[in-house]
Amino acid sequence: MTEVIVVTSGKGGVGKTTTSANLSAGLALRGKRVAVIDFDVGLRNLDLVMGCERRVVYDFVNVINGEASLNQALIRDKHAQNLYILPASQTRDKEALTEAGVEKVLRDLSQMGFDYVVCDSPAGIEHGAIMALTFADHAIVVVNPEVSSVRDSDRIIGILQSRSRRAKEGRDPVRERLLITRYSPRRVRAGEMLSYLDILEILKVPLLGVIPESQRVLESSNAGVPAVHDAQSQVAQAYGDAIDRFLGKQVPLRFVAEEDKGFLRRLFGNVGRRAAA
Amino acid sequence: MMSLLDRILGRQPRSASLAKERLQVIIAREGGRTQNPELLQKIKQAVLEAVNKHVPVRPEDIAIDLDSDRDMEVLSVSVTLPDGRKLKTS
Repeated sequence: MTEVIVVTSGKGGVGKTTTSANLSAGLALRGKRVAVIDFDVGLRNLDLVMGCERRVVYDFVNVINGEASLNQALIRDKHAQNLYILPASQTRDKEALTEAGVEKVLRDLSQMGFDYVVCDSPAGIEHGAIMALTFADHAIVVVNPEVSSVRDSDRIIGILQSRSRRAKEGRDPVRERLLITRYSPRRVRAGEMLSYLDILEILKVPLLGVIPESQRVLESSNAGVPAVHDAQSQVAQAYGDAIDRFLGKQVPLRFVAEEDKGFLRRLFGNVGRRAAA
Repeated sequence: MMSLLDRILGRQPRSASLAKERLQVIIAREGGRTQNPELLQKIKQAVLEAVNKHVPVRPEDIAIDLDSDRDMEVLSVSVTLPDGRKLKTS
């Protein structure tokens, strides 16, 4: 049975593509067969983040239009076994993703024996975002501890509950979970940032994980190698924990509390932090 | 109001709690999602039973929807009767 996961958020720039890349790579590193699809037609970027941009020949829309086979379009990841990327098209025709076409691609991926298909949604609530969530079994709602992102997450959760196939057919609802990214325990402690508990209380959706704000995210997209491959980094460990939870393991939350500092470092915290950064 | 200690330590007032309060208000008002997805199913079942006492209809003949518009929620029920006439209430 193939399970379809949509990575969505409503708001742009919160970390959907980073999450899609790390989730799919992390699942593959755990032995799963994974395909990850970029639904952001016209603004293809998953290929860059995953470091396969120079190997794109055919794309998602080519497959839907019958101009290429899935086998021709799927790009084999160089960093993880059993991971394949289906890049978005750069066409400006947003309607190129037809519902029937998307459904057929997902069915074909299922027949190819993939365990998971990760759908990297575009921002917004337009056609591409709706197509990305229509066939989902699971939704990972990526949210930043920031007012506009939290509100948009609430909107996209409402859309999941009304527009997904599961909702329309009256089946069990899409299983939604929150992934909080760009989290800064220091700013939470200072009262400058919503805490993960605040966000859970507002949105009332189970938590999948909390990813700390980190320079590693930019560095890994610069290099085109998802952060999960550098097992030493906090980001990799936080994504790893989230993926283990997704697979049903009980894993305690990490990186949500500020590291304990001595009295002097707390008083002169800013100086210390600047030196450390 | 910043406390004296906050002033000495140069702390900012707590904007996070303000954010939380504002979000709770706006999200409750916008009601982007049905708080109880089972509610619609229950209403649909009750409508089905009620109509069936008078006219035979199938579950797929009943469309039910809950919309929110600011402070008002609108429940619309549409029942397709067997001879093609439509019974509509809002």
